Amino acid sequence: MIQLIQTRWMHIRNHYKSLFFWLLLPLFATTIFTTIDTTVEDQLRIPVGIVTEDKTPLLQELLESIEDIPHVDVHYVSYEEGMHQLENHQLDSMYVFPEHYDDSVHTNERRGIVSQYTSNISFAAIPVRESIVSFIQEQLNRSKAANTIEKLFQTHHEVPPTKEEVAEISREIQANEKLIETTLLFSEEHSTTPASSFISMIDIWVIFTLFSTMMIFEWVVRERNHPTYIRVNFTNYQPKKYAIYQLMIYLFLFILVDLCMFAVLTYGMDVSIRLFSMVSMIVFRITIVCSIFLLALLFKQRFSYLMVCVFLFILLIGTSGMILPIDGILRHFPLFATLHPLQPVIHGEISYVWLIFSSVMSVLWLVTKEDIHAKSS
Amino acid sequence: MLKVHELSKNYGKKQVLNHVSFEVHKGEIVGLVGENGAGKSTLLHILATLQKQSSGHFTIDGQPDKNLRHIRKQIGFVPQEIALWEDFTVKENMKFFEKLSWKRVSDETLKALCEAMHLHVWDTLVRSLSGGMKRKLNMAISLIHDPPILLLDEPTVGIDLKSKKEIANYLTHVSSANDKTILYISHDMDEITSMCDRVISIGDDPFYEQILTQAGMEVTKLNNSRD
Repeated sequence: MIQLIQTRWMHIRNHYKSLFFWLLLPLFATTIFTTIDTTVEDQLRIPVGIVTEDKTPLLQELLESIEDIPHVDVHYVSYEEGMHQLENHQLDSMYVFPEHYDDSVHTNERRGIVSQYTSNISFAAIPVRESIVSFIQEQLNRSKAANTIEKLFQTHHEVPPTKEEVAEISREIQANEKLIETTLLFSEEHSTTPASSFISMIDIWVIFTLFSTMMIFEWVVRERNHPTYIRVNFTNYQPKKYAIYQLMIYLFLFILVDLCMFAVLTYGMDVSIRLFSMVSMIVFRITIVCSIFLLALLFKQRFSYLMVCVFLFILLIGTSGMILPIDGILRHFPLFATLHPLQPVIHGEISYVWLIFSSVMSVLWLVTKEDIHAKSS
Repeated sequence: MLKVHELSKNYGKKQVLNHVSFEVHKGEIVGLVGENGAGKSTLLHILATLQKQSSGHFTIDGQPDKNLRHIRKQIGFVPQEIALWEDFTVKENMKFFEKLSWKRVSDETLKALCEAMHLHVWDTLVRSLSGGMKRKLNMAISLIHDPPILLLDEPTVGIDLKSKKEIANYLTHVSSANDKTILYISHDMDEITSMCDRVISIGDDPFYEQILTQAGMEVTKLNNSRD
């Protein structure tokens, strides 16, 4: 094997710029896309000012909830600073929480619990205010429920649970029953809301991986139809064995680059990728490498191969639903999602159909009698 | 060393070889001549196991043609086309095929092999070599695993006389010194008469047979009456 790696390296050395360009293209495209996506998303977030000196637990809990609101960028400011930024439209709106916020919640004192300031061109003040008020409402109701239960127990002269215990149970109920997480759907429709923006990142990776693999595997056409290839018959490695080892070397390189990409995204860019999505991407990589290798074996001319690849690429991307909507096709032909080579991976699933097909075809190619008697020139 | 028995080859209805039989002994240099389309290259490709015969069989060093791996190990095949990596140097081409070869050979031996053929450009890119140099390298690569039998398909076509002589001298030397068996296709009758021990004539045209007989060569006419 080491000899084969050395011979492959001799080829790579002469074409390293082209190989590394195509090899690293999916990695760079995906990371650049993710960076741009994150930057644009950050710039599109609504700047909201928060003024508070209070460190009480309930207020901290509220502030964490506000920070978690999608598209809201929280800035902790002093009152004067906030007013100045608001006047300069650096903040879209500002919220001032008084001292002893917890006391106001426990006593159900709603007046003056929060003050809102907006500018004359605040565009998202109302939805942000509604979100914040809903969180405050949630805390007030939880506290009110605890007070009510406490009073009930006092009336019956029994030992009441503490307010904290009631609040904790309330939180558990809320978390388990997902009371405020509902998706509005038309009847007989399934939710198509993506779990996260990661799907878009996979789309980018799939597009560039497919195209770059097609371009890289031009070596199969180039080398197998080169006059030199006839010599492989008179070496320790018969043509099929030679080709399959070369395929394994390329597959190793591809998977190495993919693992690097996962590492860069996870540790360098703090993007969370589900383990199963990683597995599905690796499986996709193996599937397309085997499929494109088998496709390349059919060609004698590089030009014909490249033309067919471009056609297949446009066809696969065009019908994948990444660019053009294919909801109608999927409604009428649900099997389309299973049979399409790209559909499973862009939804973070494994394309078992194509994995099995490409594996079986590769094994068949490998075990069928070698075309050793076919004239090579 | 090489025994061919009743070998035939058809391309569809067209018969190229018709029950040809002959033997080549160890250490012999045998020329294979005939007009274009007579079936010389087809015969050589069948013996090199690159094409399958329609019927008949052959043995190399007692091994039947079905024993592909063993047969190929015995063969040094020099294709008519220049089969080199143009963007590699002479050294890289030699090392590339040494890595794939059955036999490990040192760089010094590889270099010596090239130099024995008067190919003294070790680190030069193949694409900048002359036709004669490329032909020499084309042959040197086929000799890396030190095969006992060489099958050469017009190895000197299109090169200058000096290079032809150098290649012929080398082949004569390896045949006599190392007992290598050589089957050699060529249209150059001077080359054939100066280098070969005897000649096998293939095809229907008696032209080559007559010329070579007049030159005092022993010519074996293959029974290759085609439909």
